[in-house]
Amino acid sequence: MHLKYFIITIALLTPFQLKPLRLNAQESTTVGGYGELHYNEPNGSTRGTLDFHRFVLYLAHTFNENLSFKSEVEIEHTKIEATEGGGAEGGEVAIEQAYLDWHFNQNIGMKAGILLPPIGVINQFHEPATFNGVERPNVDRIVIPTTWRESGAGIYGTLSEGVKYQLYVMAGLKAEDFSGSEGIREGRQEALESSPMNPSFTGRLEYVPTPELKLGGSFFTGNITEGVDSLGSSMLTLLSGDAQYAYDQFSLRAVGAFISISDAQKINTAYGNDVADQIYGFYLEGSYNILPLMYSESDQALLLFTRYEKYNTQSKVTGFIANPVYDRNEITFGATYKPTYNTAFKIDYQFFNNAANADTKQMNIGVGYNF
Amino acid sequence: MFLRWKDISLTFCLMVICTVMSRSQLSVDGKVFASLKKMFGDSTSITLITVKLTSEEKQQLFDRSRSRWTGDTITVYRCIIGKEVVGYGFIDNVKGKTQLITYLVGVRPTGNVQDIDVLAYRESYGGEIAYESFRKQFRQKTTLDKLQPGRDIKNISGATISVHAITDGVRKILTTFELTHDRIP
Repeated sequence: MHLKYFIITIALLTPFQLKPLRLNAQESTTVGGYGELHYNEPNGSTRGTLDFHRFVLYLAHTFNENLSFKSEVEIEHTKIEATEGGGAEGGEVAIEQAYLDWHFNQNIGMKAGILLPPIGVINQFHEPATFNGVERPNVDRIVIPTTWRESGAGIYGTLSEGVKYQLYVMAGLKAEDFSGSEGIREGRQEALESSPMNPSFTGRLEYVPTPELKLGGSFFTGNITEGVDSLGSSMLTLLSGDAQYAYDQFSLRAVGAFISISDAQKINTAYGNDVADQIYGFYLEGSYNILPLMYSESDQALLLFTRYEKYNTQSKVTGFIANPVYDRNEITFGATYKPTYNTAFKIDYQFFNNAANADTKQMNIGVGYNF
Repeated sequence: MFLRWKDISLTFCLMVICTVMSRSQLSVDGKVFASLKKMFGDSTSITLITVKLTSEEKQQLFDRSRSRWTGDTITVYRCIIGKEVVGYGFIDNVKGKTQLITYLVGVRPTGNVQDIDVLAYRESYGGEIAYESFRKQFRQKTTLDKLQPGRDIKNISGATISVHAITDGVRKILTTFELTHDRIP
């Protein structure tokens, strides 16, 4: 019942914050988008594949000074085709974001719709020119299940200069689809008839003391039982931290995430899974823009980068032996050429290793844009 | 039911009352005046003047800054202390990721930036450009400066579009001032 009074208090506080600037944002609609074409060649000698991995359109509408709508529609792998058996093959069409944004002022705003849990860096900012490497870091795919989106609502804003917050309640994860190899990734409901049985909380605090440095801390927590009695009161808690630093032409990015699942043994008994009690992952990436060394007047960028990733989707298990194949690390090095800040040509080479020593390599070439 | 109708209707009524009570809003001019006084000093008196751009000036502006004004006339907020003109304020909109960012640039008679201010930022991401630590980078800048994110203007992770938009905006205003300052009284 305390939550009820909390909601009423929040509702009462918001109108006091309503001080529109009256600078007359006119009703208007904007279109944008991003996309990326990838060439992936495994093991260096096998023939690779060319794939237009993502084609995304943004559609946004401004209703008035404070109220707007934002959306992101994605086509993955260019097409989906019906097969003779009545099924479908190919990629995926998905709404990755669609929400109303009620921006009262810099201190508080409210969002409702399909939102992104504000975890890490890539889940919130995944335009190809904003990260190095053709493929997104695997920690941002397997540990933090990017692009993680879900139906929900909540508040965001600035607490004081340099400190921003986000706090949302959204539909939770489904323990049934967790796995040993991909962790919680398949447990996302993706706002597709999401069950409201497990409302979860997610939030983020961000600190930007100077333009060079951004520090973030995020969490996601909730029940994952979907009301299935045999799972007891199984809970999931994800904690994540990230840091981004830029000095002159040098940039550093570090992301880490830790997931704890209680009663994983009950999930495994109920569904025959190999879900771990604990999952973790982190990466560290450094890059340097060498173009100013050659052309001091150029406004383009040529970044050389290297990234080390380590993640284990079965770092602690109960009732069975962890598979060493899931204890993985990766080294990626490559280059990103950016003719403009929002276009990128990329090339990189990746070494995938795991504790069972089944090592593989991959070369990637890609182009990406956003506008 | 978790929330009863009594709670919902009571909350709604109180929200309406609070909203009506809090309708004291600053006008654009009020907000601009306050910001300019902060930049140039409390004793600044401000008058609005309109400047009409010739088609030649518009072309030169586009050639030098790659941006245009909508329409032919711009409003300049002239700041005077005593009898001395201490600066000029220009307001403009640039497009962020999807919405407009309304900003103000205070320019000294010498053509240097006194300061910039973000008057309205309407999106949930990228609002860091309003921070003092970011805005102070523009102080003293002139059209002779590079005004380029990643070089003399530091980018902010997660605010790249806004950083580029406002940097281009500052260049546009400095160039406009350079082209027209002979005609601004």
